[in-house]
Amino acid sequence: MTVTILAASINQRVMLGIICLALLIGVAAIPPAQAAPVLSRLTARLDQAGVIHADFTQTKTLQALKRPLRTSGRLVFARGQGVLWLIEKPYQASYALSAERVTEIGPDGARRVRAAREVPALAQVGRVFQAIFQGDIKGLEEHFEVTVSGDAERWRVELAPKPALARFLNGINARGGRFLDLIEIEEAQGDRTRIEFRDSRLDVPLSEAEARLLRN
Amino acid sequence: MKYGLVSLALLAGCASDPRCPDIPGGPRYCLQASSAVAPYVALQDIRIRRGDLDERLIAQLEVDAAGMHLAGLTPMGQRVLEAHFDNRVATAGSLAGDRFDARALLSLVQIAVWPADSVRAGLGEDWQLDDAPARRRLLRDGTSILEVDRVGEPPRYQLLNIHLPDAGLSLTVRAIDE
Repeated sequence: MTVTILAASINQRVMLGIICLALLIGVAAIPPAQAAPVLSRLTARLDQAGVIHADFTQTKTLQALKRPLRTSGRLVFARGQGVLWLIEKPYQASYALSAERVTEIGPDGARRVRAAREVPALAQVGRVFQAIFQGDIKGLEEHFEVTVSGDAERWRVELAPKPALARFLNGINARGGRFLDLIEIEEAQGDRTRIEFRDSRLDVPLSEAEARLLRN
Repeated sequence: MKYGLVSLALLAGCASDPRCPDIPGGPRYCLQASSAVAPYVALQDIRIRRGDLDERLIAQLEVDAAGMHLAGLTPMGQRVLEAHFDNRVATAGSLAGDRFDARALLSLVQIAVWPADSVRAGLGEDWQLDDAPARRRLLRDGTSILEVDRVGEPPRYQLLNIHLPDAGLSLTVRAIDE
């Protein structure tokens, strides 16, 4: 029973963090009917892309620690195939996320494949990412008050959580231009996550290694 | 998602003494002052094995004169546990709430890393510490209860293998170079 309770608790929290992150990444895909016009052009641009690559640097600042944890790597979205979150420094970890399964690949190449139902939190990442980049996200405004400013070349989105999320989350900000440049997540207990994206490439084909990760 | 905490939850039970968390399957150990080692920060890649379970956790440890603080995250960066010792009282929190006492991780850090005299001061009278640079063992009645294999230099060590045979639990702790 302890195991079940523990796993459920973990799932709840992890799912929250990942959903918030993923939903924010999906800000570029807010349906035009709901989003400000400034984002509509961006949505259309991403909606046409079959493959999206971007480099990321994630800085996690825990309230209780003096030094932040910084990781960097690559995000790969392949329409209809899934999403890769590839951490390269300072340690290696790779996640292949699809609707059916989550595969974690460790630095030694060992693969851990789990059915989506076994790891709903991580599986949710894949679902949300897929929805995001395919422009079919409808749930953003169910969870957040959304404020959009700027123009299509330099936009900013602020997400204020509605009550159900507010006990976990203070807010999320994102900004970008041609693509998403930055996500900032502030959790209610003071932890902060900053994810900077750079060198985004649309329609660069999947490498053989990336395709293999998504296949298996 | 189990993410190692299942093992850790089994490893760390409830404890009444705020500086002597229980280590099920391990020794009774009372945390010693952080002044026993020079201040340091370590980022570590931890692999936890117990039976069929094989999970991974990224941990950041900060030790200074005021105490020690440990945070455990998934490789993707979600915090799943924290433990803190201010040289008087150990506290901890995890996603499992009161069901998981992460303070035992601080005990394992000290047992693996702290100077031998300091570790001995934290053990009950019926425990013995067998100490060598590359290997430590905690024994009771001549039986090895906890074993630590160490590679590298203290306090960070490149590699720590911590094994609790009675609990069937092994932790492999690799230093992450930043």
